[in-house]
Amino acid sequence: MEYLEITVTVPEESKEAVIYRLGSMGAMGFAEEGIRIIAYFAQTSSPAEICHELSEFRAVLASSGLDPSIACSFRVLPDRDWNEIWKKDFRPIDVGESLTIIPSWLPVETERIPVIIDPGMVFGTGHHETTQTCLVLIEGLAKHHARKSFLDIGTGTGILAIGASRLGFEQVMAVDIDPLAVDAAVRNIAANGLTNIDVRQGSITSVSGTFDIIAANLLSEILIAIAPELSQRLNPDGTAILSGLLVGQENGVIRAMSSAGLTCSERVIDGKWISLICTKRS
Amino acid sequence: MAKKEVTAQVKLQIAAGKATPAPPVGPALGPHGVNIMEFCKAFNAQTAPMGDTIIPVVLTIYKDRTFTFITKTPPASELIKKAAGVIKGSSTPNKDKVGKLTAAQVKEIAQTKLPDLNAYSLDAAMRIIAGTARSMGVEVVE
Repeated sequence: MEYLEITVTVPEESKEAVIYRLGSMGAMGFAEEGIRIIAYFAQTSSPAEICHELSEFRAVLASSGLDPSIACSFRVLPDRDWNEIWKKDFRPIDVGESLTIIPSWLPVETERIPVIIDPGMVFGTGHHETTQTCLVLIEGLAKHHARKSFLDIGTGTGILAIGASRLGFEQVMAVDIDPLAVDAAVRNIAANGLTNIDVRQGSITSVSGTFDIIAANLLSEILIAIAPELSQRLNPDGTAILSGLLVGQENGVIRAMSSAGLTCSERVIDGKWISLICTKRS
Repeated sequence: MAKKEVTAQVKLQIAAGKATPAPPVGPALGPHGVNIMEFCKAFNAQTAPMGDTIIPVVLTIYKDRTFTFITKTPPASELIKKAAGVIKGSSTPNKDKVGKLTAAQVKEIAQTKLPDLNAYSLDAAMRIIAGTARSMGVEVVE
């Protein structure tokens, strides 16, 4: 996918008005660099029409008592992996007692259990505190559970599902609403040579069956919203690992899970992030 | 402890809870070697409760490619729409008016926005807010 990058030179006092106008024309978001506003549109937009409309907007600015001296330019921006500079410094990371996350472009040279990941442009690079906490918790649960079934909701790169499979879970399912994430997860699962992970595009509602362990590294609002659905897909005495919460956001999630029949008995704090372990009451 | 060396400050405006590596985030942060997904995750976790609104955010990027960020007051247009009780501005603001703001409401919005506007006084901030409102088809009345 390509994007349209519209750069508008605008006097300070007119910035708020111009940003609103660009937003109403469909801009996806803005960067500000001094007197320049850089707005991004889907490539289906017409740059000539956008600049023409801004040109006509000068009269509105003038009659509104704002400086109308704005100028517009544009270019087409090809889609690319914006993370590539960061990725150059991506090194293997040991997580927990046994796992090592290895970028897909490096050789696998470890005695530990490798989790091969191309972080690409979806969530789940393995560097984030919440991902690492989830993997450590999965590792701990794997020691004490029968390691049968595992569901990863919002799988991103597939890192938690791959970790669970590597740690011995027999039946693993991973879902994500983002098609880019599903593509990335499929690639990463293949890179790890795993065949027991079923990846699907969709939300938790697209999942049938029940699971011993469910991991959901999402946002607090989403966890609250899906609590009943999550509970329905957890076996009696099954465990949910809930992450992606900032410290202070956990109480709403705990209440929602309790209403759905889960008891959250453990909190793991790493920096500003908190993860919860919740068990379904039998 | 020595302070970390700042290499860049980046100002963005992104929908609350919906940051992705697509523009504007990717092109703005990628060249600085920042882990884009880490920023998206942190920004979304912090702003998702704010609902359907645009949030200005300023990132400070350090030499070791770590970053911090602070969110700013909502755009003036969001505050204007809320105060005027309108869902959106006029597409033909010189012709069709969609709502009204009182001078007191303009002053209140200017006070809220003053820390983030490049204005030297409350009067200057009020002039920007009133002008922005008019440019959206929202009249300013006494």
